[in-house]
Amino acid sequence: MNRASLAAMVRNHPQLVAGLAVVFVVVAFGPVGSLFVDTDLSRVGSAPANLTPTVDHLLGTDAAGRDLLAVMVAGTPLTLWVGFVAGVVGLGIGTILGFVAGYFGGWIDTVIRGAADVLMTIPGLLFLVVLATSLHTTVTVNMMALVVASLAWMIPTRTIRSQVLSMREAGYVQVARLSGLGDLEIIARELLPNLLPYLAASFVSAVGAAVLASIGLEALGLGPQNEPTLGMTIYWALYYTSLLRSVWWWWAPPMVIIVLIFVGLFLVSMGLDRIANPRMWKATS
Amino acid sequence: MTGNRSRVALSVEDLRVHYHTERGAIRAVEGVSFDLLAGERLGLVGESGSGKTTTAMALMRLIRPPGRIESGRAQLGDLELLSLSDEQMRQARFAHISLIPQGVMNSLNPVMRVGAQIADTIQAHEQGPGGEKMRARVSDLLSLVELDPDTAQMYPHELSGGMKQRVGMAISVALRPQVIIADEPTSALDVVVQKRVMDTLFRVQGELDAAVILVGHDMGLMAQCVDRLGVMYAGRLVELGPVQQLLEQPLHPYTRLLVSSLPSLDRRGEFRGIPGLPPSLLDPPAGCPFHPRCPEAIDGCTTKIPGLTTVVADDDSARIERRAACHLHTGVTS
Amino acid sequence: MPADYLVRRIAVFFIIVWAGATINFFMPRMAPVNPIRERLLQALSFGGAGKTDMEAVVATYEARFGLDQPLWKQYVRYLGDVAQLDFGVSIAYFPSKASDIILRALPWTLGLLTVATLIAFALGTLLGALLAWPKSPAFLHYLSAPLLALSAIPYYLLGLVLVFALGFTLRLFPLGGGFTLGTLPSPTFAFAMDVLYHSIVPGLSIVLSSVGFWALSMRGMMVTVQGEDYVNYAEARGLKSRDVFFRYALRNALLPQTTSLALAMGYVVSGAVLVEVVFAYPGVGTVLYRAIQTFDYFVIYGVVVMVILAIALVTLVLDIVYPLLDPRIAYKR
Repeated sequence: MNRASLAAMVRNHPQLVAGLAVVFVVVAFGPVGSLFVDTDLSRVGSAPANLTPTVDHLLGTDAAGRDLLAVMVAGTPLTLWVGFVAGVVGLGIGTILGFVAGYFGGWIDTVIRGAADVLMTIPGLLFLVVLATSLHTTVTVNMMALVVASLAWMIPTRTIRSQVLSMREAGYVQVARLSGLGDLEIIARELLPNLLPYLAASFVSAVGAAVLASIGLEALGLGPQNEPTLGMTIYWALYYTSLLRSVWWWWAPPMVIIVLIFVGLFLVSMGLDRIANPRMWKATS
Repeated sequence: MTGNRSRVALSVEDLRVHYHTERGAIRAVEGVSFDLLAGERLGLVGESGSGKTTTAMALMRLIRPPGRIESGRAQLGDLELLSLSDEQMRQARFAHISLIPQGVMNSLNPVMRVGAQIADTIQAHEQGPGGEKMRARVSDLLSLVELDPDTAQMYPHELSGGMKQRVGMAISVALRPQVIIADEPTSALDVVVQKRVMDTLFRVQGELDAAVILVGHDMGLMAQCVDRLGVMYAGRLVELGPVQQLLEQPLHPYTRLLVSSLPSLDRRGEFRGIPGLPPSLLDPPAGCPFHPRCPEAIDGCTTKIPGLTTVVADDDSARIERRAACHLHTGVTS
Repeated sequence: MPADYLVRRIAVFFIIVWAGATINFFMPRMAPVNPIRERLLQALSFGGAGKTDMEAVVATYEARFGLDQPLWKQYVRYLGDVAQLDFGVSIAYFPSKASDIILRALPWTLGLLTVATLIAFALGTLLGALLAWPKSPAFLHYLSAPLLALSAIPYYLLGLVLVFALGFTLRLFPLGGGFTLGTLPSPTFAFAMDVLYHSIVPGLSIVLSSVGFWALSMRGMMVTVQGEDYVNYAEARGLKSRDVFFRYALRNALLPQTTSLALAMGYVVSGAVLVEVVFAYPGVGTVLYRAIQTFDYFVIYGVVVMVILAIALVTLVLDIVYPLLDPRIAYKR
């Protein structure tokens, strides 16, 4: 991409560009940080406990003797990974179900839509609590991702279904059907390309929902106890009532990173929404 | 009676409406002028995109950005519609010039009772009438358009298409306007209902002595309904005259093609268009916009834009005057 | 209201509760080792003072879910118990019944959540509507950006910041709890004020972080509705723009907005459960948190079923109110 088109991109899609920039910074934080910080210091007991920030430990240490900067550097990619895996799995399942429901309709549509609606009514977090407490052995980061993914498919299913439904009746699909294209060919050649902006937006919101759910579970103490994810850091900070002891360097950094993740994803999805539904945004902006 | 009918109800002069897009201005209406006589029924026909609906919307001052009324005058009695303030125009709508909309099927608020929607139109323009008085007035209006007064208590989804159209009609005459614009009012109805709805419209029009502009593309319906017909092409009025003569002896080659493309039996049915494509309104051809499709084009047609000139005149009445915008008809041939 | 609509909505209510209860029943049984049994055996093996209590718990459990019975029989029996709101006993607080613990906490959660959600919904809807109205004052548009950013932040994290700022640093509000420790809940004005005082910051964190969501969604609905024929026609009729806005556009945009309120309940409750943990609010969220820490399975599953029941009820009420707003409902599928 040359400089002129980059400038045009920034001008036409300011939210998208700003959001991508924020997400990029958060994603890069782990790998870049590990060049400067020894992530082994994120282990329990690797440093003296309860230190205030010093030159050696820029963000101090927690009650279990973990260097909090190292925890952030090691934990941010873990939390992003949980969100990413859950987003991919959730979107994958959601896309397939949404296509099947929207394209074929009939009883299969009724079943899929009904299941998605009922499960959406049930608070996801509680469902995950049951799942996580039932599994309660030692939860790993990947298990965590799959647990969260089990509830990340409903919103993509609904979105994709309604898009497919409206597209199915569109002229070009009817023409394709009349010209003898099979269902799979129509889906692959006519529907999928038009759905790309919606798929991208669904993916972003699925990642956001997954990160939200995983941090929620972790804050309840149901996360991987031995991994320094952002949610577990919040859990420990709450557990040791850091809030009331003025040790801001314990709870503030994970919070800032989490907020950056959500604001970044939010801006990206708003930017994508503008591309997908241009009419929505014309009226007032 | 003849003299009275020649009185002008609405005089439109040089109306221009452009839509400003990134690729340039789309000249949707380009210099349209006509007089609407008191009590008459004037038809406006043309292919889609010819500017007939835009003309109607411009007279209601309902053109939305990126569209803009670039110039023109529309004199309705003492009011010059295009120079009124927004608030003055709001007050003029339906009180002086009303509209029966194109998509009447979806034009009523689905969550409000029909009677309330008639009443709020009246309340927007008049102080005071409420309660029993308003109820009586709504009942009268519904009876006027041959609906049961109990219809007031119904919601739009409980009405048939023809009934909704009658409600639209009742609203359009509620404040006794001098001009009613009906934009393809029956295009969504089946033929039998269409006929009965139009009969009602014209009976009501007669009682009010209002003038009607009927916008549409159904030549057969026009032939049955209107006194005079205007033909629009590429944002311009290309021919205007009494409907009978216009259909029997069209002056403009476009009108001629239009008429000959109609099904011959009683000339009923929608026209199916003529060979070639309508010109781009973004970058119209030089000269007469019709010349690329015109079988009778002469030298001047590619360079000079023909103005709408009087071809057949009558001193007594504008009603039988015939006008055309075509280089084949320069000057008056009585 | 048409009977088949009502029947259908009530059926949905039962399906939701049934689905929630079923998840609870089968999930622990799908794990390689039944975690409840494990937990009980573990509690038994510790012995000591509570040993007889534990034996009683195990006896109850075996009587209910004895493996000598076929699975479907256990399941039917379990559904029967759920129908009577009988979730078994608390392992950590034996012999308290799980349902008693939960029912004591439920009013706190419902009170906080209902009020906060309704305020957020009303404010957000109004703001979203005004954002889509060309005539609304310009400062609203500046207000909207920070509110939208706030909506991207999880409830409980905002709660943490608010506790730190308003409670810990400025000492304007209590750090947590539902009422001042040492006072006894009583139906007096002073106690009510105390409860209100304690609920302001948790409520504020719910309102602030969800108002943007409702505003954004309402704005979208308004933009869609403003393109509808009936809004254009209302304007064409010379109605005042205020009337067009409130009686035509807003009135119709509210319908899908109300539907999304029903759909968002699950999300709202998930967030609120964590807010309670942050504020040590005496609602079901805190009960759940403590139960998770002690692996008090019967209480955990009881909370899940009760919350699902409450949500299903709210959804049912919304669905029953909805036809009053939308006269077309009887004619739609």
